[in-house]
Amino acid sequence: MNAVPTQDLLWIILAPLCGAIFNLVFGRLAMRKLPDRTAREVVHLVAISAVAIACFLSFSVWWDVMVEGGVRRLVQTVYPWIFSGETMIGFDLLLDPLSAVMILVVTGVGLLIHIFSVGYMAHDPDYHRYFAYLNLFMASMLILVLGKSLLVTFVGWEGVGLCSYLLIGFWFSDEAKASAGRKAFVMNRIGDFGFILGLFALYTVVHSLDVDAIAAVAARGAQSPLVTTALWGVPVATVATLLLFLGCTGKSAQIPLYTWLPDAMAGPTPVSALIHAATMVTAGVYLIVRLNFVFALAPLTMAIVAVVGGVTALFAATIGITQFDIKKVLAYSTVSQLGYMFLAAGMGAWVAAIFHLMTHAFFKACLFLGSGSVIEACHHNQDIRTMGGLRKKMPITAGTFFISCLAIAGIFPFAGFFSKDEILVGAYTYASEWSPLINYLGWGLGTVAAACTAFYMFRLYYLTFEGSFRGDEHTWTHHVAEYPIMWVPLVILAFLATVAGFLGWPHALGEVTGLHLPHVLERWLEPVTATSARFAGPYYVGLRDGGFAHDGHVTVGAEMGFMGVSLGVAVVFWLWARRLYGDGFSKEAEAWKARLGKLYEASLHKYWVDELYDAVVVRPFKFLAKLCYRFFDALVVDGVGVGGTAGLVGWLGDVVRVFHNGNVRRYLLALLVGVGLVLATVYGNPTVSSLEPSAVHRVQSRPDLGGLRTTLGAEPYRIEIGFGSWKKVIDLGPAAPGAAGGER
Amino acid sequence: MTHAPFVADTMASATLQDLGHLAPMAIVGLWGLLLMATDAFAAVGFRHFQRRIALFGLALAFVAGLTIYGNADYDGGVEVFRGFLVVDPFSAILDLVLVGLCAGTVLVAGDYARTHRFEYGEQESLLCIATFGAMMVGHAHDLLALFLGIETMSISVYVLVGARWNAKPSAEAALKYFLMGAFASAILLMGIALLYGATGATAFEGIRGGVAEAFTRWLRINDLARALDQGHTASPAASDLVIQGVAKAALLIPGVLLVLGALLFKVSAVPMHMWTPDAYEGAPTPVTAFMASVVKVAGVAALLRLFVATFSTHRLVTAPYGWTTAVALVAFLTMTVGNLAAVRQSNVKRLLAYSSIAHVGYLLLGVVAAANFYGEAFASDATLGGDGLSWSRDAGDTAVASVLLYIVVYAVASLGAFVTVAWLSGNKHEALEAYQWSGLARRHPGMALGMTVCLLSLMGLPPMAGFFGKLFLFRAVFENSNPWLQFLVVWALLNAVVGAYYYLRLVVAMYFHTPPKTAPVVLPGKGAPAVVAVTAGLSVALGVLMQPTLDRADLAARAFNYPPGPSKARRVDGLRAAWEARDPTPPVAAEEPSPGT
Repeated sequence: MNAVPTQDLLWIILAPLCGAIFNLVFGRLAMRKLPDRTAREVVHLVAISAVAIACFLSFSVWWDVMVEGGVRRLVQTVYPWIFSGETMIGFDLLLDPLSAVMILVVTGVGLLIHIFSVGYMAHDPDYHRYFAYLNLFMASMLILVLGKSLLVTFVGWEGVGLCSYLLIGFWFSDEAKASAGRKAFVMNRIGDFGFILGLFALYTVVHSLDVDAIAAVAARGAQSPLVTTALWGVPVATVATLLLFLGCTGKSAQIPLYTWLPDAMAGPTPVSALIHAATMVTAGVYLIVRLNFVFALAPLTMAIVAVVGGVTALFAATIGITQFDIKKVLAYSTVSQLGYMFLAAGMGAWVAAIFHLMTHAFFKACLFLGSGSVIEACHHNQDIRTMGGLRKKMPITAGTFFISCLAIAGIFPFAGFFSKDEILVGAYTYASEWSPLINYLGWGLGTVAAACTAFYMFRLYYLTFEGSFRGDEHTWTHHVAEYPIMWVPLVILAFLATVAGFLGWPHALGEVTGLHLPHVLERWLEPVTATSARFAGPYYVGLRDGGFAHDGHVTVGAEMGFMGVSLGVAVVFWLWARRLYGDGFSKEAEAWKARLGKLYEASLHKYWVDELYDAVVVRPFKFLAKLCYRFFDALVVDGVGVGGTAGLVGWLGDVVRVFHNGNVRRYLLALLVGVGLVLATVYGNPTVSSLEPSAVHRVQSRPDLGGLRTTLGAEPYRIEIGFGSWKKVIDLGPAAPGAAGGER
Repeated sequence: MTHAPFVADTMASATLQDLGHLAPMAIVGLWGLLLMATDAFAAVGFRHFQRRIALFGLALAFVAGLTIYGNADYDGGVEVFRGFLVVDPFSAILDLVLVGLCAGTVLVAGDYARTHRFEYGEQESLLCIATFGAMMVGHAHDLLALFLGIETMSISVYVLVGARWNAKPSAEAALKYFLMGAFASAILLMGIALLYGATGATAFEGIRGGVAEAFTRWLRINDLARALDQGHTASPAASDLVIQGVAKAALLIPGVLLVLGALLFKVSAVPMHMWTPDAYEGAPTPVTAFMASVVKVAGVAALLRLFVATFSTHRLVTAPYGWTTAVALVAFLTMTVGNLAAVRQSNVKRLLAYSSIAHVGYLLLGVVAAANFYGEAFASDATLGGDGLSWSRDAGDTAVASVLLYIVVYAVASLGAFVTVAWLSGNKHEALEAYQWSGLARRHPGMALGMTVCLLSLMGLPPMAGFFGKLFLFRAVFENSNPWLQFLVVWALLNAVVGAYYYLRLVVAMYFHTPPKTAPVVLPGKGAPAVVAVTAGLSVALGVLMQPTLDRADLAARAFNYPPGPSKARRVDGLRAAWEARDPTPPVAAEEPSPGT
């Protein structure tokens, strides 16, 4: 049945990696030796064909093996990576319905964006470096998505972070841009800190990072050691998922770690489209859905994910309303849409999350590429206050942009309508047992955010493409134009943004219209999402009944009602945006601005969150660093004044000087303090005088896969946890009289 | 060990045999002396021969080390010179690593000294002798061997630091380092004296026995008190025994802590780290590389040999008497201060010096974790009559392996980074300010790439080796059920975020800033590029091909706190058997859905 050679999965990753290596090694040479035009052709042909190969392989393996062959799961061991004790971390690749969706989206959208980049970066001197990084990003992203072990996924996770950083700082001559890259990297590292701690937490129970092994442990539902074992007083599942979610907030730009994404717009626009809209930033959503069976065991985490997602969706949308930078609007829109995905994931609507991830990849990539086209045409000006009327010169860009706006705003029958609606209905339906309030909150936040989305997207569209041009005459006559290499990808993406929604045709619409289309995506993802439904019975009523939309929780009428509300809201705010901005900034818009006053200011300044972080985190940190520096470094250097006293020569002179400046004495003092510290931590302990018989011994038991703690036969035992003067003794049984054990 | 009766005619052959076991160390020591002699005869202008001779000797030592490395005869540990030193898989790894690091330094030191006009022939000799001392620390199985090794290494390094006679900071750094080091040595000797007083032994095995005995007697004092309370009378002999135990324990604990203080100075843990930035900055940069790699490896080896393997009986490890509390506190301070101070540095050498301090903080966490596990294993052996095959001991072995892995990976990357710094000093002025590194990637893409790989490895970015070093180290610590240690892992990971910030600044400067008009002049010769290529290559290769490294580390750490002998050999052989038996195919998940629909 398996007609495709098994190297296929690996070659999906290796193809872009080879492209990257080629351009890193030979690109520079080519750019120097060959005529400019030829060199650029070599560079981009290598890069594009590398991605095209990956794309082709993805489609072929998907079609031949999964669709035609009927194999839903393909595991490929590249090489057994690490054995450590009983753990084996293989460099294994896993192709299942979830990773299949991801590789198709990543390679498909990636290919289109590579092609678009040829036009956008046409005159950049570092052409080869750009494509090398872009290919490297593709390879990392595919590792992330295809990794079977979470450690392999983490390698990709860090890889995409590094590439993102390299590409944000791509135009590094500008210090602000380089520092935007650094900000993104460090914020991502904070997220990664959570990710890796989450891995440790999972490891303490599962003793493996393999997704299947984790699933096997989670399969026991409420009896799983993930739930019964406590870490820091909380079930491991909750701790691990919360920490992993911290990683997701970093990578996927959610509150509180979202501020890097708007700054990341400093990078070239195709990069924003690929990395900061369609693929990398959705890695967090992918991770949650990949580990859905663990998250389903942690209702607290799920509630937090949902609330953070919902709040981010609304919060970012309200900022998007007032921004003037075309890319900033789209950036906040991305943050907001990612919030929707997390809202869905937090409600357990895994299919909806992936559905929105996919449709969002299409329409947001189209929007970003469209904005790139506009920026290129306006001579690298990004301010929508100086645009307007561009439709006349760029009809295709305007058309595709408009379609994408319809899609993102959730207008029937464009893709966003279906996916967003599924999230909103899901938010309402998936009753978590312990708080229905979360559902109402999620639905409410989502609906208000949908209104904002429709408003700011059409505001953006009308200010950019309609009305009259507000920039200078020269740009209008000489620059504004569009090129086939740039509009072809736009058209393809707009087409996908139009039709992709039909993959998730809702059941209710079928009932009403009589058009019973299958919910293709749900059926496709069933093997992946069914696991949590089976495992997490006690927590999620909705999940227990299997998939979404045929669980009978909402009637057809109610679902149609939800659709009506979200569609109505979207249309109303579309029309309102058109009224306010249909022909430049209307008087009415100004009036609203004045009426909102402080609220407008707050949104315009992004709620001063950057300033807040600066005051609360960055400055105290810098202060601490300065303190350490002053104490341990500057003090000493200033004291000695190395090199400050020129003319003083001779070894003896130095000896005298060193002895007389008190410096060495200070050092010795520190050394003594250190030894004193070592002595004090042990002798300063009040319990040292009480010589207890050492019946107490530390027993460390290790929860095995079954969640049973090893007991020491029938002997009662105590657990002593001690650290300095702090000591905690836990009695696990009656104290045996006169049981005096002790040291050998 | 039992002392064989002294027989004169077998002595010579026994010595020769012992030297055979110690071949790598012996060769390096011998070459130190040989180089001293050849220097006396080398005419000016022929000094580069010294380098060739040294490299030849180091290559010989490396080959000799390879015959021991992986040789199953040494699995149980072979005691040589009547238990003064030991040859086992742990020392075999250290021998190879130390010889390699020394060769890396030798390749650069000559070029650097010539360019900076302070060339002297003893340099290679001193490097070999210092490495000999470091290797002795790795082989140490007796407090005196440990002391001799540390002193042999330190005294050579004092000279190396001060050898740059034409620059004041060098002499100043040497003098400071020497004064501080002498003070630390005094503390170390004081601790050794107290330990000898408490246990009557200087050999590690003897100390281990003495520690257990002292504590057993000490703890009887409660029984004694209870007996007296109940109106029993204790015989004078019994009381004497108990009181002797108390007296011995009273000597023992300060002894342990003084030795600990001295070793923490050697690895430059906060607050005994003050000398580090100055000494690192003032020393000729190749010597700095040597200090950051060879000396650090030796210090950590000493902590492992003495503290983790020997002072890891339950009572010495756990609160309220345990030393691990102190080390955990020091680890916390070390990583925090090291990282925060590094953030402010614009001087590359000082930045790397502080970063090396921060790495010691992470390593100390691993030391604490390993000792805790061994303490638990010891307690369960004592109370349950276990056969020592408890999970705690396995976990302790894993933690030791993680520490070993981390220090090796760190030393390799650190050598590469410092050698790059040394290389950028061709016009007698070292390019130490970050701005001088601007745009290095444009002028020297190869070296910039090498430096970047080393920095990323230090930062802990996958798939570099440094990532796996951190992963295994922190995982081992996290396995401890002590919530404070788990908190320290959280703290260490946050520190790693700070580390990313300052390492990245250098990478940003090299790649993203425009080069200054005057290009920094680089050292002549191929030595430095070769070293950077090898260290960067290793930093990647050890990560991507983690398995062989990890296997060796596991082997070296297997039954680490066992005395040399057949039972240790059995456990190590068991590990080899497990390797052979292991299934290279991934474990099949319990609930793997069957293919096809």
